[in-house]
Order: sequence, then C-alpha cells, then structure tokens
Amino acid sequence: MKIFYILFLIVFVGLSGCDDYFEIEPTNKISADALFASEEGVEAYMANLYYQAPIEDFNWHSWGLVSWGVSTFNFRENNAGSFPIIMTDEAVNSEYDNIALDPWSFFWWDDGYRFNKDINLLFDAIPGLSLDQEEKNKLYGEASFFRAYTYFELAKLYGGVPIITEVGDPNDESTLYIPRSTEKETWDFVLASLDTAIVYLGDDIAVNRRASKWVALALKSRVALHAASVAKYWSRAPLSGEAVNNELVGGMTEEDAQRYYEECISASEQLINSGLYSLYCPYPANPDEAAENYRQMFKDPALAPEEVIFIRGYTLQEHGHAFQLWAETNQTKESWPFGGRFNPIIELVDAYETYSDPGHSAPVITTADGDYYNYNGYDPSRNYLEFDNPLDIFADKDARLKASLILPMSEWKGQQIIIQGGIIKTDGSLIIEGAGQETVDGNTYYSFGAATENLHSGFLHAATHTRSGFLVRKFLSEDFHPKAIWASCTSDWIEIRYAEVLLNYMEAVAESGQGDIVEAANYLNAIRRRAGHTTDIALTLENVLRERRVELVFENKRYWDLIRRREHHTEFNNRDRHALVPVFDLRAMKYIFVRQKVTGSSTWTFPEHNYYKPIGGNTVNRLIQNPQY
Amino acid sequence: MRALNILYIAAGFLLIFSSCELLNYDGPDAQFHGAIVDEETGDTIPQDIIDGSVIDFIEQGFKVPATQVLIIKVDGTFRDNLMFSADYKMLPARGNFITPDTVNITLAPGDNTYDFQVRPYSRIKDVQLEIAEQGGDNYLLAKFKIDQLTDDPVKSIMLAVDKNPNVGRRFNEAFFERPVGSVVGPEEEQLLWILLSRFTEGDEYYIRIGALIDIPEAKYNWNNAIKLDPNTLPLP
Repeated sequence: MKIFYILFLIVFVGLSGCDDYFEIEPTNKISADALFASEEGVEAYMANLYYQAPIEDFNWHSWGLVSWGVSTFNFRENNAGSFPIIMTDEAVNSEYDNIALDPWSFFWWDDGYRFNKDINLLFDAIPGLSLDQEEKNKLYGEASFFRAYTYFELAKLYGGVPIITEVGDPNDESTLYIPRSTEKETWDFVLASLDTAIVYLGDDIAVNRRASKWVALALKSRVALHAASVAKYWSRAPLSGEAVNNELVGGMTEEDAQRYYEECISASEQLINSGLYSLYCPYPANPDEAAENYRQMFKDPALAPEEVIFIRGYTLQEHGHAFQLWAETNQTKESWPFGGRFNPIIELVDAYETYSDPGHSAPVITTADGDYYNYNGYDPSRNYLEFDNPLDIFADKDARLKASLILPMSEWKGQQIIIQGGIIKTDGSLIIEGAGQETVDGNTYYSFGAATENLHSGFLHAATHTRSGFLVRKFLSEDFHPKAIWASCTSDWIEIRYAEVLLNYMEAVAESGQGDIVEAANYLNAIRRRAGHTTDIALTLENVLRERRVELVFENKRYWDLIRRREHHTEFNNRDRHALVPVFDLRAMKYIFVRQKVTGSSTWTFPEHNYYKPIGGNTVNRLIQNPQY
Repeated sequence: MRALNILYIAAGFLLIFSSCELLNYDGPDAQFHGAIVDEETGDTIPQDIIDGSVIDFIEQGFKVPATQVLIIKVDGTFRDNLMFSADYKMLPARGNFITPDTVNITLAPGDNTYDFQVRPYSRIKDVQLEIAEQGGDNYLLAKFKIDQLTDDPVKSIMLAVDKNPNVGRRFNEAFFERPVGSVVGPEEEQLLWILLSRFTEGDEYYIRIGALIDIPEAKYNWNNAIKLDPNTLPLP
C-alpha cells in the first residue's frame, strides 16, 4: 500500500517542474520552415500536392468519406469496384448496382479543404524561398493551378463554396467562418486562378506529368465548358430554398453562359493553334488498325505524347490502381477471385455509329421487325435474326466499339471470351441465364457456352460474369496478370488529352454560335477519321455529343457530362438498363440475340437535388446547406 | 482490510460525483399531425411516397437553424409523434400545389393538429378503366380528364400499377408515362394504357393516374389509388 503513496509522490514532484514540456518541436516531423528551406523539401511538398490533387483517375471512386469512411480520391484498397462509369449510362456493376443512389457519393468536402490548406501554405512559403525568381514564378503558377483544380472539383460538387485563400488563424474567428461565395463567383475564381497559372507556368510540352501552361489551358477549356453548361441548363432542373435565393447554387444568366463558352473557345484555340499537339495516329489504313491504335493509347499513354496533355503515372505495385483487377474477364483473371465487374450496357453499344450510315447512332437490331426498343425478353412469336458468328452483329460498327469493349466471343489475351446467355433446344424450349445443356449429333451444347463456369465469362449471375453481355477492354493490358495485391495495376491514366480539348471546342461552338464553325467541323471529322470514318458529317450539337460519348467512353467524363448538361434526371427517370443476351439456337445452329433488362439491376431515378451534393459539417461551419439536405 | 478498501473507494466516488447533476435535454413531447387540403374542395391531396411533397420546418431559437423535413403520406396526411414543443416556421414545399406562405406554428406538449390549405396544380377527374384490344394484345385502358389550376403546360401524364396501394411515380411494378407538353382543357379526354400481360392473374392491384405540371420542382398530382377488382375487371 505504501508503495503507491511513494510512487504518486515521485510522479507529482517529478512533473511539477514541467511547464514548457509540451512546447518542444516534435522530432518525427519536419517543420514547414525546414521543409521549404531546401529545394528537395519543396520537391517533396509538390509531389504530395500532385498526389492529393482531385484528378479523377482510376483511384477516384464514388463511395465517399461518409458512406465508407474513406476518401473519394487516391483510394488504393478494395473499393468494391465503385468506379464512376457504373453511375452513368455506360455500364452496370455486376455486384453492386445501387451505389449511385447515395447522395453522399463523391464526397470531397473535408479532404478538399484540407488540400486547399496545403496549397495556401505553399502560397505563404513561396516569397521566402531561396530560389531564383523564375523558379518562384513557376511554383506560384503551379500553386495557382492546384487552387483551380481544387475549386473546380468543389464547384462541380457543391456549387458556390467558401473561397479560402489564406491559412486561417485559430484566434481570429473572421478567418475561420468564411461564408459561401455564389456559384458564379466560384466559377470565376477557378477561371481567374487558371489565368494566373497560365501566365506563370512554364511552357515545356514534354512535361506532361506536371502542370505547364498547356495543361492549364486544357483544364481551362474543360472548366469553362462545365460552367457554361451549368449556366445554360440550370433551368432544366431548377431548385429552390435558401441556397438558391442567395445564388449559392444557380443564379447564372444566359450572358454568363455565353461568356463561359467564349472562355472555353479562346482557351481551346490557344492550345490548338500552338501546333504542339495533334491526334495520335490520325490516318489509319482501315478500321482494324484504327481500333488497335486507339486501344494501345490507353494501354500505354507514353506512346502518344502528341495527344496526351496531362498524365497521372503509376510505377509501384501497391501504389497503382485496381482497374484491371476489377475489369479482367472471368476466363483470364487467373487465380484472382474478382473481375468481370464493369458491364457496359446495350444502350452504349447502340450509340456507336456504323460506317455505312455515318452521323447516326446505330442500335443493334436483333429481330426482323427492327423493334430495338422491345426489352420484354425472348418471344417465340418474333422473328429473330440469325448469325453464324456472334461478332457479325457488330460487323460494321465504329472501330472504337471493339477497342473499348470486349464483345461476346471476341478475343482477349489469346482466348475467345465466351459470353453466351442461353440455348434454344431442338424442341424449341428456351434456357436463358440458367444452366442447361443438350447433346446433338454427339456434341454437347451448354447454355453458357462452356461446360464449367471457369471456361466462360457471362450470365452466370455471379459477380465475376457479365450480366449485360459486354465487358470493358479500354485501359486493359494483355501483359498484366492479376495477383493478390490491391492497386497492383500500373498503367497510366490520361487525365487530359487533345481530343477532349477539340470536343470541348466543338461543343462550345455548337452551343454558343461563337468561334469558327468550319474549323470545329474539321476537328469533329478529324477525330472520326482517326476512328476509321471516311465520310465527313456536319457540326451539329447532336453529332458533337454522340462523338464525345463514344470517343471519351469510360474516361470518367460521362458522369460530369450528364451533370453539367442537366441530363442525369431525364436520362435516369425510372430507368432500367439493358443487356444483349447471345442465345445459341440448336434448331438452326446459329446465334440469336435477345435485348432485355440486366438481370438483378434496379430501376434508377436521379433526384434533381443530387445535382448539388450535401455540404459537410454545416452545423459547425455555419454554412448554408444545399437544397433538400 | 478489504471492507475498508471498498469504503475508501466508495467515499472517493461519492466525493468525485457529488457535484454532478444529470445533464440531458428533454425528449420529444409533442405530436403533430394534419393534412394538405385542397382549399376549394376540402379533399386531401394525394402524394407520392418516394420524392413526394414535403413540409419544410425550422425550429426557432437556434443560432444556426437547420431545415428539417416532414414527409407527407400518400393520402395527403402527415404525422410526426416525436416533435418538440416549440415555435416553428413551416412551409409545405416542392409539392404538387402552389407553394403557400410560410406559417408560424407553436406546438404545445401533447397532441397538435394543423391542416395546410393549398391550391393543387391540377386535379385528376372522371377516371374510367376498361379492357381494350389492340393488335391481338389486351390492354388496361384508362380514360380521364385533368382540371388544370395554373396556366402552365402539362409536362407528362402517368399510369402506375402496383400490388401496394402506395403506388406512384417511383413505386410501381409497371408504369406508362407519356409526355404532353401543352395546356389541356378540362373536358379533353386523356388516355393511358398498359399491357394486361403485365399483371399476374389472381393478384390484387392498385392503380393511380397522375399529371405532372411543368413548374420547377413540381410533383405529380394523383387520383386516389383504385383497387382493381378481379371480378368486375377480368384479368387474363
């Protein structure tokens, strides 16, 4: 008992003399002053900023902080395959298809402002750095570029946000409680930050993994188009409430839209007219060559320095991404247990043109009556078109289809990828999306096209097998072999490429009537020529939007296109997404195709208030919340 | 010795906690219910259960007032049994009626009732259901009229079917939505139909017919759900 009293006394006396004990510098961290004192320190700090920047790459996923306790960006663990392509009309996820219904998806409030603070620390540090003025200018440009990227992401998600350009002082409330700016002021701030970046950054085009004047111009083209579209189309889904009354969301006019389109046009023109960039392999000899060129560019962006403007690269395993781990077909995923998650829907395949009818979407026709809108499943009274080879039904389609998607029975990694959903037996009975077989003339025919589940890749109603009849090919590498390490894919991500700038320009011209309509049409047809088209089409908004959808497919652009043009709620209004099911008819020994709802998928409606995401922590930060949260 | 230890510990706890008082807020003590009522006819206004009209309410007296939401039920009534007695500003909003003025309501402990008198955007009337045959297929055909109470065009009309009486725009087994895009007269007959093969024989179904007026954030105006009677309406 006595020992406790003695111990207590020792501790009490021992600590009583400590008054500045807690004020020593931590020895396991580098102070800001020390970090910015050396060139290497600055480099390390910049590398961290590039890491944190909201680049919507393979590691951008929709399950944000609130849903899952993880960040939306740079998530390198098991993200359940929640890539943004499944939140659009591009693809469904074979396992989870209700991710899109969460309004907190893409949450980036806390992380966004944390990143903003790091940028502001850099702004504070630059004047005191022991670098020459030119280097300082570059850093200043780079910091402005990051600032623009940050507020672009915030404006896309939340509308008008607090513009915080200085590190807050904990003792001064006025620096901590900064109210939201209007949506218009926020967009103008992003554009102004980019203008600063354009002035101060270097113009070396070889630097495509770091910000340059050209990267900033290309980003400005994207930002201005987004702002213009919101200004123009806000009224397609108007909201009400305090945030609207204060113009924290919406509140932009037709004049604002025209001004932003003009900004998009002028930034795009500066980049295009520099002559430094061009399309990769612009004149393919035939569609097959076009398809292979296009596919190679995404497999390895380093092949196409003339087209690639800004890259996020990956080198180390465990610090890469998981795209191919989720996308690999069931037949080629080796011992890896996942794969087959991204299932492009038939509506996307329909959007691709045919070479014989340029300028129009070409829905896949499966029956003699041509009614491609009939998704009621197999109906024996209809007259189905028959094919010896399932690929024949896509024969005349735009080369980018087979470069971006794995089509049923197409080849991947030297194997035929068996995607078959059923058989019609010789007695006329149908087995669809279920196991079954029949032996005819000594050959056994299986409903899924193969005897066991590891030998085929479709319709098993397992997460590893496609439910839509298609899988993703874009970005995949035949040299990659899945192993049990998350984020072990190291293929690079093209964040901005020249084709997107051309598409931005065309859309701004078609929407606003400003700019050079002849040049814009030339750009449209140049992109199409690269895809093997030989007939020019006119510059219409419809043509531009279809081209954009097809050219930029799976590049995480479609989600924002639906948002900025306010099309998400009309595209997803009690909407089902559909599959193309190849069925082998044993009576004719030919394939037929059935258009039907993706089995197990739910009907989606996009609520209009989801055009703006809920602001985090608004009971503490005193900000006005977005409508209906 | 052990008993003494326990005594010391007990005395210690007594000393430490003697200054504590129970710090907690009172629980919800008020119930609030009522209806959204058509100011002309006195009928409640049917709603959607998912994404339907709501009542925004703000409890007064907080530094950072937060808007909360009360969902209106399919039949146009609402009820919340876990409210706090306090002063509120309330506003039925984003609904299928012309947004009224904000009302100040004081909830007393216990039962409170209030009916919001509003003017609906439109009313569905004269609904007739029949079976019609077209091209070898049988359809359930709905004929009805729309009373428009604003000058805005009708955006679309919709027929929704489900086994649950809460059937609506996003709660249905099958639906048919048709764009309209113009103002319609009160005596113009509207038609909507649905394939009879979408129904399972022997099951009970509810159907509702709605009209959506082209006003920002407007919701469908519905009729009250009609129960399909397998006896009078022979299903296949």
